[in-house]
Amino acid sequence: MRILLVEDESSIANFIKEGLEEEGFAIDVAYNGKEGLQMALGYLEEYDLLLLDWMLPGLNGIEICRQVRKENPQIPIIFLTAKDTVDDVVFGLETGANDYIRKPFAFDELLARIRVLLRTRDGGHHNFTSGDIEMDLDAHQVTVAGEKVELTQKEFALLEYLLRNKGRVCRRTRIIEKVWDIHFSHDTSVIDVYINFLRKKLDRPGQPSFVETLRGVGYRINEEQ
Amino acid sequence: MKLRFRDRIALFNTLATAVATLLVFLAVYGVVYYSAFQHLDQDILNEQEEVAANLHWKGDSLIIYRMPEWEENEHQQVEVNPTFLQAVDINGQLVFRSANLQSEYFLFHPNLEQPRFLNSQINGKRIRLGQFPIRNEAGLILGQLTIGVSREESAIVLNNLRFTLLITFPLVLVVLYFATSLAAAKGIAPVQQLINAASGIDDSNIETRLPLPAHRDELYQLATTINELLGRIEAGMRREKQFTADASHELRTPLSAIRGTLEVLIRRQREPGHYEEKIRQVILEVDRMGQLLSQLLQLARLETRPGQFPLETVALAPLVKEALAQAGRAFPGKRFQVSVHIPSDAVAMADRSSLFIILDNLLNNAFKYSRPGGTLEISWDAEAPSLAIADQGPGIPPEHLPHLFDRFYRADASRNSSVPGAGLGLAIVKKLALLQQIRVEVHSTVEAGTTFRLFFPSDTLS
Repeated sequence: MRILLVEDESSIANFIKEGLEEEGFAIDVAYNGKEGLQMALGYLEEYDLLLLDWMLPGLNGIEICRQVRKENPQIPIIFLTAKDTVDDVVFGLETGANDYIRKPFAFDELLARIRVLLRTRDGGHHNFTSGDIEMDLDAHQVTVAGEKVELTQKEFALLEYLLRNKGRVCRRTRIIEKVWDIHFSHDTSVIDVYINFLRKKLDRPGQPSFVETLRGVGYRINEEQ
Repeated sequence: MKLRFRDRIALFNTLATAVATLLVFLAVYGVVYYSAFQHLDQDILNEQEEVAANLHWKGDSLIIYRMPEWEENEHQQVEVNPTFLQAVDINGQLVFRSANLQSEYFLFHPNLEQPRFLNSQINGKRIRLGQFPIRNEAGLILGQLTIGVSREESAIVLNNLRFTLLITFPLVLVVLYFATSLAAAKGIAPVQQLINAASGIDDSNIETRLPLPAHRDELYQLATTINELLGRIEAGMRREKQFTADASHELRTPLSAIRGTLEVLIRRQREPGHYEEKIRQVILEVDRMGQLLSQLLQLARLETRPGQFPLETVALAPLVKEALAQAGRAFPGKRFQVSVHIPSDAVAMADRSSLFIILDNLLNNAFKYSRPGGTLEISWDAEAPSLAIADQGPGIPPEHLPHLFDRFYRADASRNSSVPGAGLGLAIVKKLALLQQIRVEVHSTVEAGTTFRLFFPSDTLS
């Protein structure tokens, strides 16, 4: 899950990025309106959700929201702002935002609202399975044959991305973009490291791995026969 | 009792008209009264001439020749235009009287020297009397002639007139009162419209303006004046609203950062070093809030401060030195040249502690924006007299200069920038300068630097 955060206040951007990354999201931060709009429009397909501050130097969040909505009516957008009158909230929502969070806010609430929007976008899907592997997004847990498996956030995010795209090839560059962030090094070998971690935790001895390696291309979780 | 404006106008108008009408009515009545009796008196005089021609005397006794004319109807009856005659001698003894007088007797005035006219009654009929002394050739009074004519007609005319005037007077006033009240109501209807429109304006629709009357009269001026006033109130309200919004944004931001940072921090176990780093960040944010709050308080105190600061002679060199030391402590890492050109005897008219706050703010800005290797120059011009603080920082684009002293205005507009501050420092400087009659000028060239110049009130003491 990749999120674009447009926030001029670095102290706020920092904790949101850190907190969401720990929850397995990939976060890109733009520190002003122009940069935010460029990133949003330039990589719109890559993002699963936008977090926009309202008052930004250069170009405000409302304008970014409008421009993005022209290109993509579906992508979830959350306003994150110190503006807190009812008029502001209504105006923000009418501009095309899906949700509105007033500063100061509880991080858990932000997280919950992000999950709700992503779940809605997924059509209410919050469980993925492949063989005897089951992922419950709400409980944020993974079981193999009913047995709970502890995963790190990155492992979880990687598995989630592979499961979401079950039956399709996940290219290495896409994996990096969706699971790590856009500024991450172009060295994609980190993916192999994490795939190995996942295989150690999820694969059964003597059985084929849950994920297939497509050499030089990427990985794929195959549909059940 | 409280009268409406229209009723007050009507009342005053009616009172004034009442006095005027009363005067006119009195004059009319007076003229008619006078002319009516003048007419009767003339008749009496004519009659007296006639009678006098038939009066004779022997010694001091009167002799009257009976004239055929006296048999005329007017002297016989009392109904239609009767003329009464009576002549008496000096003792009041009746010498002659006309038939129609019958047994009536006109009062005798023994001391009458000159003719006189008076109103009287006879048998219930109102008459006009003329009384004349009868004199012989020597001028000696021999008797008295009294001629009476009916004044019934005049009395009726006068009565009618009086009646008419008395009835019409209040009637005219009542009609006038209501007419004036109506006219006044019509006259002040535009005022009433202005009142209605103005009373409908409050905080929520302060951008509304009064409709302007079609004619460019006093009401038009009143409406435009009120509209201008509304404009100023609206601008003030918008400024305050903006200020509150800015202040709340500036306070919420560090608060959000503190809350979020701590919240994320305790979501899981971390290395001790990580805790320390985050806590340091939080302390920085708390400092930022503290500084913002003290600036807001300072500004609030200055806004409500009445009157000017009392000015004193302030020695500049030590004050600048002190402010420089303080700014240096606030920016310990900064390395650049500071050159001060202030003679040790330089003095300015100012309030010492306020001037120090101004210098502190300006030097803080200069330190913030000064770049390594640059020079910060502080110089005194005794002629102006003015103090200049010139940095070699990035400069300020011209479009930002007019707003530089606005509250919460930041030329770089990016809170992410490495330069801290909420944009209140220069607003405080402006306010403090105003209270000490110090004029602040700023010149800036992008990429070359910014110069703030303080022009002090000329030293009236020396």
